[in-house]
Amino acid sequence: MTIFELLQLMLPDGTDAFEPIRSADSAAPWINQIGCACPTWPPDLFAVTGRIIEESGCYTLASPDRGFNSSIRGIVNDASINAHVCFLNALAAIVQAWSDDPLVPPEPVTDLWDELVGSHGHKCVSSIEADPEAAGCVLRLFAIADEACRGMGWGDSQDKPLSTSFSHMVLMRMGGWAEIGLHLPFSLCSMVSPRVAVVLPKSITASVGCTVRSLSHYLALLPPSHVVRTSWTLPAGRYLEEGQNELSDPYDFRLLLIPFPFHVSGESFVLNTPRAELGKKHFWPAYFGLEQQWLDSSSGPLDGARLGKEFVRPLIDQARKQTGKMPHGIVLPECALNREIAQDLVRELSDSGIEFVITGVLHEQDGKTYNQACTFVIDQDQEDAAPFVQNKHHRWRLNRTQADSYALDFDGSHANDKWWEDIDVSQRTLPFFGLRKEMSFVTLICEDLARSDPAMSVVRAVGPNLVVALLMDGPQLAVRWPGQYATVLADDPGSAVLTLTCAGMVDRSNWQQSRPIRSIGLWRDAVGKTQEIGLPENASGVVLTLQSKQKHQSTLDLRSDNELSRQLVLRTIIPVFLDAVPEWV
Amino acid sequence: MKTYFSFQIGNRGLLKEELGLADRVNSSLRASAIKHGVELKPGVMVEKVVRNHNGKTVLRVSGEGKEPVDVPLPVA
Repeated sequence: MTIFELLQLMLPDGTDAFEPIRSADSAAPWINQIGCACPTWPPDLFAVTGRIIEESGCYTLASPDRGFNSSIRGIVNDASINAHVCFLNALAAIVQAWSDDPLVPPEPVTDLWDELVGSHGHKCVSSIEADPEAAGCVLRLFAIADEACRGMGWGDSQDKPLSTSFSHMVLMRMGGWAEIGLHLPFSLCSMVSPRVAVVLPKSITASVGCTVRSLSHYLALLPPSHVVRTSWTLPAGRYLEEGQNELSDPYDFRLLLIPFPFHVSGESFVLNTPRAELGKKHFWPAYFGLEQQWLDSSSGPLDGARLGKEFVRPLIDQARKQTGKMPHGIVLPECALNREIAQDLVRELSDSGIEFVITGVLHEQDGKTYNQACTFVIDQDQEDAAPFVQNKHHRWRLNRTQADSYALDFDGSHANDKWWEDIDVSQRTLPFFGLRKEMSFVTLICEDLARSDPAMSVVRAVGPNLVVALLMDGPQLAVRWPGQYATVLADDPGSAVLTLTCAGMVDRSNWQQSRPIRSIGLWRDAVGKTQEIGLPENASGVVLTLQSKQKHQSTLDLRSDNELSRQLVLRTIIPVFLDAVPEWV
Repeated sequence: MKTYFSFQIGNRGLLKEELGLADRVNSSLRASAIKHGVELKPGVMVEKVVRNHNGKTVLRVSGEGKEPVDVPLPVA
């Protein structure tokens, strides 16, 4: 495929995102003579140049030429450094000009675009890596598009704005201004359909490796929406009180972890489909189901309002007393609740001051079972909040060793040694959330943390500050599998990873241990800290205080983010005790 | 079960301290249009203080004579 063919494929409806706000009789003066004008919306330019870079592999040429040869070993080449400083200054000037005059890309951009289409358009994308001129052209356009989207997807200060006017337009779009057609919340693009490519805001630039992911600060290029359906949500957050200029602790972040359920009976695991022979040593596998018996109490089925009033609200109160501050969010493990209880719980907490709730749920619909993560963003002034729901992407395959370690014996056939989780894993979605000050997170469910799949590539591309993994697993020890896979994401892209499992499964697993460790969670961050999160005897929850700190990042082509990135570090872990724990807990 | 609603993305609203950015966007668009001899459709970027269906006052922006749009939530 040639570059021109790729452009036609990605931009079938033209390149002018501002056409809807021009009067009908206003001709577009920037249409070039080649028949394919430069995209007027920077995320569109980012998408098409990013696709060329990714498919050609020419990101390998992005590092600036150091002018090195063996005769100058050990000596800084001033000419190369000066040349790069000139490149950065010119880039900043171009981006400023485009931001100040947003309807028409500035001449240096249209010149580069005309070169791309006119001089290199007939070339095969696969040949670009071996063509330094073409590669240089597309890499420069990509860098301009990325810088023109500084701050996109986030809020900004009107007094000291850091973002470009394009980023402010996206913020206005979130505020209801619909004059420009954007594919929000699924993509920041206008003329490039999500069916072809998706562009989302980015939090962390991978600082290791050599990929297209290491080449941008502000935008992430993702696969088409049919591969995995992603979205970006930026809640409005708290309105400031009268007379208050800014949030008192914008970069602190407190999470109340509730490792519910605290008891999981062996009867909660049931054999849904026994193993059947298909041929010689070839079997239709067995499937197990989960019955949430912890949601039944001696006085009847548990409901969300009761869970909130009798257990979660007292925990919030205790958390506030023991830490001196209100937690911002609550996290519950995989399969802790069902959808109805989760919704009722959030409704009960609507005036509690909690900003968001993340919980694992088991959901039955149309005869199918879904293992889901629900994220609720709560506005105190509204009575209700709709959850963002994502299905687990991979089934758990329970083997005999694991079953024995949890003292599970639900299959009468002792010849069988593995069982698949009986859930539907279709319709992959992956919602990303921007919360508070430049802090983003995504949730993964158990196996999804460990599997290498398109969703994991998306996580690496966006680089959320925090990855929350909801588990139904044994003790969260650094040496066990969650610790190993958390390390992978902490390394690339550099996200902090928090795993949380339920106390009930930790205790079942610990029955076999002579020195049990009641670790219900694990923290791993990009600075190398790994922290097991213990639940002391009689504690009902744990409050983590996280802090987001400024971080300087650089792209492969040595562009600085001027410390706009943030990274999360774990400051304190405080267990929360209740004076009286409800009998049903 | 009550009807779900949400304030995400299209319903997000703006913070008070963000409303000044609407003026910035409007100014830069209009200046750009004048520079290039292009006419903008009238009423781009009008600030609105609206009351949503739950009775909460939210700060939003839209084109003149148009209602701010609600972007549908991602399908569960």
